[in-house]
Amino acid sequence: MNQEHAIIIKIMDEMTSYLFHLGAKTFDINYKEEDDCFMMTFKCDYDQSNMKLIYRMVKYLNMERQEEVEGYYWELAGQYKNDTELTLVGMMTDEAKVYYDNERVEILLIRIK
Amino acid sequence: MDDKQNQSISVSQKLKSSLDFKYIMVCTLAIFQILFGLTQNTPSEIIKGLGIILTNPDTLISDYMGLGNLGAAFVNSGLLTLMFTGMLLKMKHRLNGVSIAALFTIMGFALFGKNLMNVWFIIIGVYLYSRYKKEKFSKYLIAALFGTALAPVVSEIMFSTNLQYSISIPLGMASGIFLGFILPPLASALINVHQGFNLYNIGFTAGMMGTIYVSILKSYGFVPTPQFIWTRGNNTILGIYLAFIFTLILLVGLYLNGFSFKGYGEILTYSGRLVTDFVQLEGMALSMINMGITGLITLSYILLIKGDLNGPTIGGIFTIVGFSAFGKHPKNILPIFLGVFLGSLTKIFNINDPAIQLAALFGTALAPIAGEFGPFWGILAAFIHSSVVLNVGYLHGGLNLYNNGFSAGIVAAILVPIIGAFGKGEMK
Repeated sequence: MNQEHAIIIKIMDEMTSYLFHLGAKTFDINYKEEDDCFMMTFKCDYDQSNMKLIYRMVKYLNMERQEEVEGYYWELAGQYKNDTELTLVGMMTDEAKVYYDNERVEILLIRIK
Repeated sequence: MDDKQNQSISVSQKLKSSLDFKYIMVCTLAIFQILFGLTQNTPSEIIKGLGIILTNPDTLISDYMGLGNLGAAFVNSGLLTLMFTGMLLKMKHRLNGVSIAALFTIMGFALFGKNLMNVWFIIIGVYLYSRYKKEKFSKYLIAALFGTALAPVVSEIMFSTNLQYSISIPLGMASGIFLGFILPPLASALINVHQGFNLYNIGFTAGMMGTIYVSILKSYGFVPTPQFIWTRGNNTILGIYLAFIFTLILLVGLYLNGFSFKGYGEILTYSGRLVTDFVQLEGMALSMINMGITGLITLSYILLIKGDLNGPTIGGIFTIVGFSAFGKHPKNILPIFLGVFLGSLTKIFNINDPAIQLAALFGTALAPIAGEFGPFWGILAAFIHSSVVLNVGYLHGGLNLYNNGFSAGIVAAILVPIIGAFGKGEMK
């Protein structure tokens, strides 16, 4: 397994943890490798009382891709169940889109190769 | 999705921060260091002092204000910071919380262990590793910057052995390059041990590496000799200078924030565990306010306990200020000070013993424990750390400048799973 795949696993681990944290009972995860990027989609229901966590997720994923942080700290992602690790996911992805309504949330993450 | 609200984020919308301003801030502080140094000694004294600093062993604790002189120590600090800032600028690196923390750490440690000569071999080693991996050097930038903690190895081998210079100098250079070469993969792997609860991860890594390295050296009869050069009696002049610097940082932060503390409370809600980049999360203005406040608190702490302002303690203070852009804030560092203080009441040392002053300052590497689990655990972590740190320096013979980071890593590795077992490890 190369390091890129190891990082994808870390991102998925971290995101899956956060979906549980949102109160998800069902979720779908989709992964696709394109020529120039990796795409990950997460869809789940959530507990509406956790709306604050949705806003926080948007903020934390709102990070610039930072290669130097990724190169040094990537092993931390998915390790400890703390929501600020989502910032690390933000720093390891180039684009994040978050869609939500009253019942479901959908997150698209793109990591350029 | 029905009635879909959507919020999309694109790279272009991501945090806008002034590239130039952050560089200007760091460069200005570095220039202040040089100017302050120039007011303390004559140019000839400074040049002579720099010569001594560059050509002597600087294992822990080598206060450059004592080894050279006060002016030379500050000029070394300012010049080294300017060089590293120039390197980052040339690499077109966008300064963020961790790089600001790294630059302030270099600025501080350039007062007691890192100098214009010994740091570059570690950087070259990390660079060669990036070439070996066929990846950009920028990917390993953080390991390179913090990895200069091992710089004393270079000086120690060059100037402290009985070998002739024709052998010891190339050997010192090769040792630094070798340690830099193996540092990046080790630093990434060992971060798992303490789960990001030790902010000085390179200190932990360098401590482990130093332990093995020194063990091998000792088995060939070479014993690194820790030093104790610690100056006293400069509290007034240095206190005024530091108070000026930190007040300036605070005022600039307030200016950028519309002369208010609005939003500052948000910074205090973060645990500070790696990776908490305040510059990215809350902006440069609030980060600078935080840096100014923690600087003034830490300076007050040293003066209150009747400690000494010198190379090592100012190094500790600058490191806290730098990491106030990357995880530290008053709420998570004060329990650390309190834990060390309580330790001094019950243990055999005094609160203002040199090693204990450093234990309090650099023990703030454990601030995320207080931030995540509450002040009680932060106090306990610091209480334990103040004992552990006194015993681990022997292992690496003082060759790891981040000795407290080594100790903090051990404490966090043991304490965090215990806290987790008592049910405090749940996500907030």
